[in-house]
Amino acid sequence: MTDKRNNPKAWLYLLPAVILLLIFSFYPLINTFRMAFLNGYNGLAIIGGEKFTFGVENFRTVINNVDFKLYLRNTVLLCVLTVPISTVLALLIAVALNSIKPLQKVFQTVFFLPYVTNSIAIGMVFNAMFTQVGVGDLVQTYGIINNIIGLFGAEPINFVNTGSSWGANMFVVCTYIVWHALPFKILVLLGGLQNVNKQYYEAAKIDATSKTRTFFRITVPLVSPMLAYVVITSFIGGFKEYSSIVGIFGESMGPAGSSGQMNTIVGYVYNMLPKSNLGNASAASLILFGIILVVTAINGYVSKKKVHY
Amino acid sequence: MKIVLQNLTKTFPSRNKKGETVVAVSDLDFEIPDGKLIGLLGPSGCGKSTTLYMICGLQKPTSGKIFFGDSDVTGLEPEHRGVGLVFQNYALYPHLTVRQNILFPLQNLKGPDKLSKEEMLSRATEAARLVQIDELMERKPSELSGGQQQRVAIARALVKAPRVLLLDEPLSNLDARLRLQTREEIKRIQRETGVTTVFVTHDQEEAMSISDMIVVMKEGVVQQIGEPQRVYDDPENLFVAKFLGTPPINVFDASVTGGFLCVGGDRLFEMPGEADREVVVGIRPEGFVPAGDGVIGGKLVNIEVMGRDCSVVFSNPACQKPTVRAIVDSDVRIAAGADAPVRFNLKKNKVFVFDRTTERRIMF
Repeated sequence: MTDKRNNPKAWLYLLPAVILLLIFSFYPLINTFRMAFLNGYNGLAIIGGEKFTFGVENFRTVINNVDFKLYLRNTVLLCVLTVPISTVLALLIAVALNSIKPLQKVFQTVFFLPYVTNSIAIGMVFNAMFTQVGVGDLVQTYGIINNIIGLFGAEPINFVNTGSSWGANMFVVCTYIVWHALPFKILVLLGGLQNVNKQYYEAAKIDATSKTRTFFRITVPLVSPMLAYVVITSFIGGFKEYSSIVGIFGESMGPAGSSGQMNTIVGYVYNMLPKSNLGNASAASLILFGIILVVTAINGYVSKKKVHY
Repeated sequence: MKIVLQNLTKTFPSRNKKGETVVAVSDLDFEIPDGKLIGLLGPSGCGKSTTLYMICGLQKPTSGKIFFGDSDVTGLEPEHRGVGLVFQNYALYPHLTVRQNILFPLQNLKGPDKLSKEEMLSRATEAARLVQIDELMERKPSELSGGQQQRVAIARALVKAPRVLLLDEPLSNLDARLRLQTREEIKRIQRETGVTTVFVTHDQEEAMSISDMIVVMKEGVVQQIGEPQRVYDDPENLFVAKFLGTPPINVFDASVTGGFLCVGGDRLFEMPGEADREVVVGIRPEGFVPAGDGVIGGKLVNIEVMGRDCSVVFSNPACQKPTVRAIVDSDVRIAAGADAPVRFNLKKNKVFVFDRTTERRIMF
């Protein structure tokens, strides 16, 4: 029998995939590291034949950048706010869905719709819902949310338009992200719930276990592997948040005139590209990579301790 | 706590046709005496598990009543019935240790029944000791063998001192050796606690060996209730006779002709006063006694020696199966090759006669 690891035929079959991976994954990955550690690396200058020295100047520039600090704060806040909220909501909805028989499929479809809808399109709809047309006393009409707020007699809030506050923007973006994140989480958690043997619940029922205790002592531990998966993936997704903000605010990454107050790290990376600040963009990417790596490691560590079996 | 089932019926809506129903359990009406171990026995689909689930309250009867002692529990939710249930695959919480699993029911107690932490722990330890798993308290269910899991499940069911203990196919997930051991264990635990216990099984040997009383069911209808030996010795119909006993009873097409019971050309017994008619005869394997001039016989197929006794397998055209199996003392030597004729006399109390159409027993 031939050694499977050195089977030339196997390599031949793998070749198309390997070539594509080399060109589009491994080379960019390695090149990102290279560019990040070349001081002041610049896409235009390299055509001029300029030589760069290795160093951490790019990282220093990025970290000392005032905008980057704001973007980092935005990104972290978005994660910290949306991941727990959407996970808890998704779990509650999944449990509710799992406990109804009629219309379960209908609701499942309804809840899944955001997942298959273009995120830019959703962002525009969110903008329309929260918007107001006109400024200050000259506002002519409001979006549906302000109309609803008006029904309760409260003052309209400037959510997304010129002069809107950072907090109001944050609220809209978080709402968007939570809503957009729900379907996938519901799907995963519902799958987990449906795999839980019903006899655990029958056993709990016979032992007179209260609903709350059943939820916390049986349901949550038994779907904890799915919960861990959902939390880890949504943290990763959260740190890469970008398209939601583009969808709501457009490329300005914030209300008009705010110089991008809702921007994120990925947004910063994109900002750097047209300026050919490839060194800074790479450094920022690597910082993001580092953050995600650490958070995922922490997640993994915690779930190893808390996730059962 | 005695359990009384009164005209208990359970129907399910049919899967394919609208409006039609499938009767799972029909008109169950019997009493389970206090402190006894009862086996609900029958082939799969006979309604025995449904009966068990109705007793514990996870399923509601379509009609009829259930009493625990004198109190009607028919409408009571399972959590208020005070029953302990051991599931077929144990349903131990996989994320909890053995101790936590056993403590779980106690931690649910509220109000006046609420126990202190020390009390809970001591009761859990006591239950664990009863089923002999007190050394495994810190393990997770996945680290236990099937038999150990079974014991944990029993401990969890017993720890809250239930009025009734219910076991659903308690031995079906165990291997043959463990099954023997565990069934004795169940009997011992039941004796020590004195709790009224109902268990469900399709294995007649299991039911016969440990039950104080067995209830044989078929297609949702009770066939016979009684002490295992009595039911075995005195089956009321052909189904019960066929279902109990390993190897199974030998069934022959027979007739009553001129006051004699005849199988093929052989006259077995006199049946005075019986009108001529077609019947079915069942003969237990241990009912055959080898005798050269015996009343029944056939062509020898094989002799299986099993040490203590041996099986004589022979063919008889009147038998409903291709071969007849007789169990005889291994001292008896039947030295004969294949196809040699063999003859047997019969022990009369091992021979049962049934009506061909109703399959009910005809006494003689």
